[in-house]
Amino acid sequence: MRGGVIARLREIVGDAGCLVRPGELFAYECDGLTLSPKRPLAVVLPTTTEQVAAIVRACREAGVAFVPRGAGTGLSGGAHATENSILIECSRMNRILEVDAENRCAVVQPGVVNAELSAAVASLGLFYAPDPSSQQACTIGGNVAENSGGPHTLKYGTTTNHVLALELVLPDGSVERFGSRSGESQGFDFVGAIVGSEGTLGIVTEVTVRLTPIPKAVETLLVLFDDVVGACRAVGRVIRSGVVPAALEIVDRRTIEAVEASVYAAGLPLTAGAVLIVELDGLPVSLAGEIAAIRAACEAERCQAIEIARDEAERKRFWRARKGAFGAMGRLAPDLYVHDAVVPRMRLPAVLEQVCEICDRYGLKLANVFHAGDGNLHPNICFDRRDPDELARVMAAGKEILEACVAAGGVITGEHGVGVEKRDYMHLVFGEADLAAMRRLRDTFNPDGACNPGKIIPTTRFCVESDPKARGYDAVPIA
Amino acid sequence: MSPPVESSRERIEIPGGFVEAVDRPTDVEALSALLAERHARSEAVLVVGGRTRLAQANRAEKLAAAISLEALAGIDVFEPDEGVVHARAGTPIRALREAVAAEGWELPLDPPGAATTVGGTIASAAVGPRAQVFGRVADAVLGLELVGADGAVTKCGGRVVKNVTGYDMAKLYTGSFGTLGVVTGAWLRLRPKPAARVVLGGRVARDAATFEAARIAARATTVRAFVWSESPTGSAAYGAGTGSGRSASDAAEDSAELVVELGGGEAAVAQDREALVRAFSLIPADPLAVDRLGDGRAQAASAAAIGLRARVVPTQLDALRQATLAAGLSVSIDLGAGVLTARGGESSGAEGAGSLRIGARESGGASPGAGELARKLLALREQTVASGGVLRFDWLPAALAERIDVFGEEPGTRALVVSLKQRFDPRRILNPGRFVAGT
Repeated sequence: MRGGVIARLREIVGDAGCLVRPGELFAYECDGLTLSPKRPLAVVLPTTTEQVAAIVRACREAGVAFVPRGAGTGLSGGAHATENSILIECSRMNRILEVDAENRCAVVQPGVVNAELSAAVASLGLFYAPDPSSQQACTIGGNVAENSGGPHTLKYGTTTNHVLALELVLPDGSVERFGSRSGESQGFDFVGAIVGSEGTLGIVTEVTVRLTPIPKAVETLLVLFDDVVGACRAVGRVIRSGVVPAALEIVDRRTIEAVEASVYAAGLPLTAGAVLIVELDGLPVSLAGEIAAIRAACEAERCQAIEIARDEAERKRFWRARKGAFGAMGRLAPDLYVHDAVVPRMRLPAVLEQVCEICDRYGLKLANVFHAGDGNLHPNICFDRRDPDELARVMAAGKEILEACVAAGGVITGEHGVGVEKRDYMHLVFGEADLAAMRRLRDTFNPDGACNPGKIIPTTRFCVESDPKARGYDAVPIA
Repeated sequence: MSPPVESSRERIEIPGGFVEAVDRPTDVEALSALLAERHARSEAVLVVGGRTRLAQANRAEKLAAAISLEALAGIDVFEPDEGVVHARAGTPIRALREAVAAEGWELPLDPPGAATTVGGTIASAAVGPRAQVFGRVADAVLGLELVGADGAVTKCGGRVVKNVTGYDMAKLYTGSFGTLGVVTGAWLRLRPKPAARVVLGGRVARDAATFEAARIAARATTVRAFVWSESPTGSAAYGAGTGSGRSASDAAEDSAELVVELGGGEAAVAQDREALVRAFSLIPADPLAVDRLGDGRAQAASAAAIGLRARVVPTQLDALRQATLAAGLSVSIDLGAGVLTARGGESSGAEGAGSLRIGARESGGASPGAGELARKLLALREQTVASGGVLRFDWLPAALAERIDVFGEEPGTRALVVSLKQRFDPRRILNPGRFVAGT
């Protein structure tokens, strides 16, 4: 049977578009979540919607599950294969099909790289607003699957606010279009439901995205604080002031030290306990007043110093401290567990203290770099997976961090998604009836779970016991 | 203590039917019990809030009674430091808007209708003239609580401003007209109230060049609403009496009316205001002009009225405007958002909409019958959809309601729509028949 499906996949995409050798498959065993890798049966690299549909039909005929994948930068395992599944990699579907500058939208294939789309429309005075940290590599299709955010979501929103219409290959192999260039749907908002569904409702093969005018003026401020809690309090004051910055990002001392010791060194003083990066954009006539408001908010929390970028080079230098943070953390330990949770913004100081206490208690090294304006924490735990005891402590601390965030009124993921990583933590936020509603949506598109099995929704014992075949593709344990 | 459900005899007419009893649960548990009971008996209900958009629906299947959310009202949590609010479904939008404004925040929802509620706004995804800055209703919704068709109490989303914990169910529920579940409460995101706000109005030539200039001007950073209103004859119609300083009886023939609201920092607003005054000779207008215009879109003037709403990409707006006027309807266009609302057929021929009346004087010969009129209106939808937009009808006279699907549907999605409804409401007890594709 397996040989049959691979022969069929080769017919669809050609030998060069179908990877089956162990050496080739090794790179596809996981995405950005490197724990619990799984090797797929094969990786196919389609270039057209028709090929994707044919691949899905071939998988169905052979009774094998299939998993869509973009650039594989996701951090929650949304693109992890399951045993004996086919990984459908969309990176070769990388054409920008149309740019409609007057109506500020573009039609793209899912494999277009996020940053390349913005680069392609920059000469028209436009950009694609969602800017995840991995934007040099991640693709629009992956962004749609994960409803990706980034530092600038505070003002511009996440991927869902920038997707107007979609083409989807459904798990039965049919092709449908949802939404319209106007941004609205006739009937149910299926576009809104598909964005963020982590590839479990089908495979997105074309995306119509909103393009945003490049702001006329940008000001970037770097504010130094004694500690993270002071920086968080200043963020609270900014939110209350009525100014909506494009970004409000915090980097803590351990991250500053790592950045300054790395190639991303931004010249940050090691005397600072935390750095707050504030970006303002809009009309030149508005920014002076907004800078004054930010200054007042930060001074009220006794900041050490405020620097305003004098030019583009300095602006880039400020951002290097933020965007280079994950890379620099490689200096701290062999492995990094990047957590992602959200709390009400005013609870940031209290929750951060709890997060530090949890990591101290487990003897773990913690570095924080996060989207403070959204209340979106990224506690990064540095560890070495070769030490099984340390790995166990990382997992236990991670669960406690999520519990603390939920107890504060927050949720377990703000932008990385649930995937396999947090599937079994969904109960922290949702009850059985809430999950049943999600299951109804999934079953509408993906009734037997063949498309990206085992993601997002925990398998209930009830389902397995009552009808083991009903969710056959999900029955495989993930952990 | 008040009873958990207050019931009364009251007749509510809707397209294709009516109910004569209204149940008002006073808490979520009572609503849950009420729905569980209806579900067990397979008795369908009409779910109502402020009753603003009850006509905006296809013909209902048989209904046992209405469930009104009006007794489930009030603001549970408002955190001015956080910029979020939790309100129950029956809370009037106006009351919520005023409550948050007192603390420097703005509710980014301005649906038409003085009585409209939080629940009704979410169910119908109704936006007003400020859609270009407020966005869609779903953009303001952080989390929802609902009661399902079988009485199950569920929630989705949360209270934080960024969240990808599971499917974005709130998107699916928002704009589903109560066919998947009954919204009982919502966490809503607020935006800072603008420091300065200015409303301007005036009349301009109703030619393509002026329309295009206005469309471009509507993109200015501080523009919150930019409404172009026009009747087929050029007389004051849709926007009449919005306070632009001239009355509807003014000799402003063959012109369109503009109403513009600016908001933001003082300096930025002053800059945009100066440019607009220069370009379109606008003058200060009633500060409430935009809300009044919005409310004018809420309800039909008579049983013979036709109302529709379309959203298209900006470059298609003028073509749709011209086609709509040619069909004999008056238009009110939110230039920044690309939203066109139109109405006609409701009163005298003075507005030029007389030709839309069905079965008018047989001797005239020129008055179209319902069939021809329906074809005309459906041709507008075809044009809109073909150019990347959507169009639905807000209200239709009975003769047309039999012939026109109010919502239209996305080609190829019917099977999904039917399957979705079947999974959420297998006994078809929630607003059956009223929404898209027979749901």
